[in-house]
Amino acid sequence: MNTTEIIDLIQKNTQIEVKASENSYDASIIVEPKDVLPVMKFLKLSRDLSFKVLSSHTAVHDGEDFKLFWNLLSYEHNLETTIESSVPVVSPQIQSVCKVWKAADWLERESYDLFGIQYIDHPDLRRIMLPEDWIGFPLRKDYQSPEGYQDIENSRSEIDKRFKP
Amino acid sequence: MTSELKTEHITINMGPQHPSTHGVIRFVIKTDGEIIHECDPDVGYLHRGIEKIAESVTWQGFVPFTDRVDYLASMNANWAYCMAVEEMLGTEVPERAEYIRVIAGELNRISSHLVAIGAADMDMGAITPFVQLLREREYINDLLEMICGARLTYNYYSIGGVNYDLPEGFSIKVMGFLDHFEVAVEQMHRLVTYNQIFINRFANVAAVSPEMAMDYNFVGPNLRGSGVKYDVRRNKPYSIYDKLDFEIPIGTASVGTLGDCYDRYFVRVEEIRESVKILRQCLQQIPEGEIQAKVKNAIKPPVGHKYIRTETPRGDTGYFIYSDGKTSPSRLKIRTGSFTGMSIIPELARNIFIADLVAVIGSLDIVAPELDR
Repeated sequence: MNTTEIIDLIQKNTQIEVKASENSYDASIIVEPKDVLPVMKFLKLSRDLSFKVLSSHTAVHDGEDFKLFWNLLSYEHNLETTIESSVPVVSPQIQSVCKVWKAADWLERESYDLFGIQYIDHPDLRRIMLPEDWIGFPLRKDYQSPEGYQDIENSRSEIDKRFKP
Repeated sequence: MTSELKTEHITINMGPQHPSTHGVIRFVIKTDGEIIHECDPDVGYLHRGIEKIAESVTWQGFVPFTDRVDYLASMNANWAYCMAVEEMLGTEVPERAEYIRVIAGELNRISSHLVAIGAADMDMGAITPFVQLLREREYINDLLEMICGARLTYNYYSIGGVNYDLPEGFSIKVMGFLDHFEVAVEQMHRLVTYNQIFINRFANVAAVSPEMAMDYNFVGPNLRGSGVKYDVRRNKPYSIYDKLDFEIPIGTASVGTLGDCYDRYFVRVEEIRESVKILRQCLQQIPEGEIQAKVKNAIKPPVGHKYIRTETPRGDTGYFIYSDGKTSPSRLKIRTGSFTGMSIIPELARNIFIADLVAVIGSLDIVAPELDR
């Protein structure tokens, strides 16, 4: 089953407008942020697709937007697909998919931690990799590394390329 | 009398420097006596920002960093990344290089599983198997040192092939090792697998149903331990795996419940045997020829995103790469089996003994640097 057929199934059963993305290696399905949760629910519960596995979820900082990607797998039908959506950097809010897949819990916490994306209805949204009092979101393109953390200084090494012993 | 007694949960801290947490992982446990009421894994102690580093190094320059993602199976980690970039560039890897990749990858898979099994045994209190298995791993380290000069972080795979050809007399040495190793696996079976004490510790502990395993995105031996027959090498063949003959072992609930710690352990043991089978075939079939495809010095893959999965010892490792057509990736996400495997701990650890939590962590084969990246 290819992406066009999956898109047809989504539109026929949920009446939600989705479209195929262009310009990429993997064909992906672009979904509006508000429609993400119903589309995901359909993809998991549909008998013809049964995407029971959320393999990966991540964000990409691209100019004014965060692009969000969900990589889904179906072991039953040996299928693979990518769902794509985008939220603005100024108000990065999206519905959590924790209710659909439990694996989404930590994956969403990770992209909250590193990108600052707010997942609505996430049961336990707190930092996972970095300390709780860390300031800023490191994987954003405009991130400036801090001068120090608590008592640890973040100064550059005195040994540089010109250094000769 | 008893109704007046008040009990309260005690919060205790396990780790980050605990010998049986397999690296620097901390568990905050609320216990009711010996029984865990609530367990919250605190990860991130080994977060080195590898995904951020990827954005500032060249495509080839990132290969050594993938070694550090999973130091127990660096060959497979290299492979996953190199394959993702090759797919983006459309590079055809020469056939001899593909065979060498499979040989190195499967040798590394065996050595990684040996540590997984040995460490799980040691957590259960059995020191002897760990020492015995580490001795076998040393032989594999010697073999891998022969082909690339390193014993832990290999940096052997390159984009488009491998860095060095196999040295002279390598296949004879590997064949000799395999003959010896098959006997060693049998010894290990007698020592551990059918040991009643070991079975009592592992069987019926923390069973994961197939639905739960898929919901939590279990991968690799953990997923197959729950009875789901899925292996990327078979279901979405890459490299030369479609030419090779091997079985996919799954959990069978031979002594306990389906998907318990013993099943996960047993799948790893069986996988070692399959790897031996794959290695024998590869050594017989390996052709002569080039080991490196022609790849430009400055790689600039076209704009777009790609998600590639390969079967590493800790399950399928996914590389999500977003390229904006420059000399380094715009975003690189490494999805590892340890990370999603770990997220099940709060649910699995509820109402089990603290000693069983150690068994669960051991059977999930979690490697801390891969978890935190």
